[in-house]
Amino acid sequence: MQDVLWIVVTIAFFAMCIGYVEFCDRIKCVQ
Amino acid sequence: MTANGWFQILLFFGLVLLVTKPLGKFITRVFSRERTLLDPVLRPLERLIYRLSWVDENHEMGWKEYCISMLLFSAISMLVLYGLERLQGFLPLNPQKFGAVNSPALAFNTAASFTTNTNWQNYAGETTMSYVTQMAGLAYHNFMSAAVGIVLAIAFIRGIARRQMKTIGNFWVDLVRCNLWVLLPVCMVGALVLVSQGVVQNLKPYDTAKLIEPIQVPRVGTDGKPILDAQGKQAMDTVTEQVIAQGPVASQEIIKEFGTNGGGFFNANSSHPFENPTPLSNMLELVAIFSLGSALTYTLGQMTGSQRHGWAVWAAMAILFFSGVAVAYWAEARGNTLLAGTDQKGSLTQPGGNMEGKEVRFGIANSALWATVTTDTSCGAINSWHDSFTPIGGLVPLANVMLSEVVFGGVGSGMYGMLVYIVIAVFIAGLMVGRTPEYLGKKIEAYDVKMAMLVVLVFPLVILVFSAISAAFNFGTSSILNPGPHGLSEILYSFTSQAGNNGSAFAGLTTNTPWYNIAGAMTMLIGRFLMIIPVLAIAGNLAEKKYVPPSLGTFPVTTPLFTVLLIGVILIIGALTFFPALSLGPILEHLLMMAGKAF
Repeated sequence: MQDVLWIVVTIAFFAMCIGYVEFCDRIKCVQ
Repeated sequence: MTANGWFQILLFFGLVLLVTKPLGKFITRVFSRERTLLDPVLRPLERLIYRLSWVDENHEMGWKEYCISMLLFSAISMLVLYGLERLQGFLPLNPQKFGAVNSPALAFNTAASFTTNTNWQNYAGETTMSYVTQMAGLAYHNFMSAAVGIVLAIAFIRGIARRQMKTIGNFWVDLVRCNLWVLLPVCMVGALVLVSQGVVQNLKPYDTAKLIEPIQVPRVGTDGKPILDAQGKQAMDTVTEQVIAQGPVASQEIIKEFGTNGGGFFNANSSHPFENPTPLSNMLELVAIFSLGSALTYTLGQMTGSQRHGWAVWAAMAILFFSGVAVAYWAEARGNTLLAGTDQKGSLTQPGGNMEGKEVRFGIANSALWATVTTDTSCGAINSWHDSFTPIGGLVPLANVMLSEVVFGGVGSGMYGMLVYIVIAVFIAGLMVGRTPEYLGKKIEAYDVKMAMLVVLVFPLVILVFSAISAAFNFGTSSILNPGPHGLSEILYSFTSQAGNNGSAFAGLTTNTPWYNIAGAMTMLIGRFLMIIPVLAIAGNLAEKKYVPPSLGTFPVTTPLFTVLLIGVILIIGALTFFPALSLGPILEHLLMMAGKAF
């Protein structure tokens, strides 16, 4: 069960990172 | 301090200088896709890899595509390593019959650690990891995470060098070429050299030797704390035999240093005679740690067309390195003033001097040098015990990591970390002369500075928040083995090392606990990837800009003044951020030591 948790946490972290890529890109557009 | 000690330090640095230009030129050729001597062998292999993986080698990527490719690659690699750790009991090449890494949180921490080039180890390799995990999991990540760092630095340099372009290269092509041309050839030769010195390389089961005399050892719990018997005395165990761990060490050892990874095959890391057997292996491993970081300054100069700028950056790194090693060597050679009367000075019976915490085979100079080199970069391999250094000696490695490891730095990460500081330095210089800041013909504008600040701020944020939580609650403080300011230093060092993707431990802190496994894993992931993303955003933005010829108002980035300004920016940002925490840790400990109290 804990294995599933850490796999989900890993995927969630990298999904968040991809969101952060979008955030960094959008800052440029709103300048 | 001795003349011999300083000779060895200068010899080391001379060797680093010697490899800087040829290696830097070679890296430039590899990433500019110019012909090299290795092409007849490696080019067909490279084409085969692209064909098998459906990579179009002529496709160029913008910064977002480059970044997302890197993130997906890292995510999948991390999940594979986690799976290997948990399934190693069912896999081959496991002569010791190790079961799964028994705590999922520890497996998660280790997977995050090796994916991020940190190599923080909350386990002992020789009692936890099978050979297949060591080779296909950990050594694989040593290559890949190092390559990721290098290609990101190259992408940043392309961003500076390119004009009015929307692309910064192809992540997959850069990754393959970095491994095939740079890392693998050097590591194949380097591993053989280490084997010649006595580093082991085999797949045999561990040997067992019977001790001539049984020895009594204190019994400790899984938390590292002593276990008492019914009378309240230290419980002792009698040991009659010694297990001699071995395995595929040399192949992992060389990339551990060359890729500034730092994770030891053995728990004792580079103080283990099978990892670092001779003074020559010690010197070669030290040079391996600095060589890529130093060479990348030459690559920076070549690819941007300003070799003098590359050397100006190199000079800033060299000055910071010598400052650190001089302080560490001085503090450790001087010893602990509270131990006056003990044999800390070189004598006939104790020729080495202050041996507390040192690598006793190689002496104080090589211990202080290694501690400085491993924390100037994001290596984290150790040959001595930073926790046992004097407060000032221990402050040097801690401060080095707090300065974001930009002194030659982690492979690639040191260079792109330094480039972020350069962006801030030229921005400040531009403010001082009242002109729009420029860097090598590119205007540094609001977006670049915002992204640079995101890079600079996330690092202390993650360190200070997790350190504060650990220092405030029992789940953090119960792991401390030394009280007072030294205990705070242990916590601070732990999170600083993990956020900086260094991986060296101060020791004295039991970190294989649910809190430190989880908080540490998140620290490493945030410290790596949330810093990389804005770095690539700057690279993409710089690549799009048009070239602005230098004018009278341009701050030159090739002069000693630039070097001094850059050092000033690095020190001021580091000092402003971390001085309050340092003053409660190693600085307070030093003052208390002078007043007669040790921890």
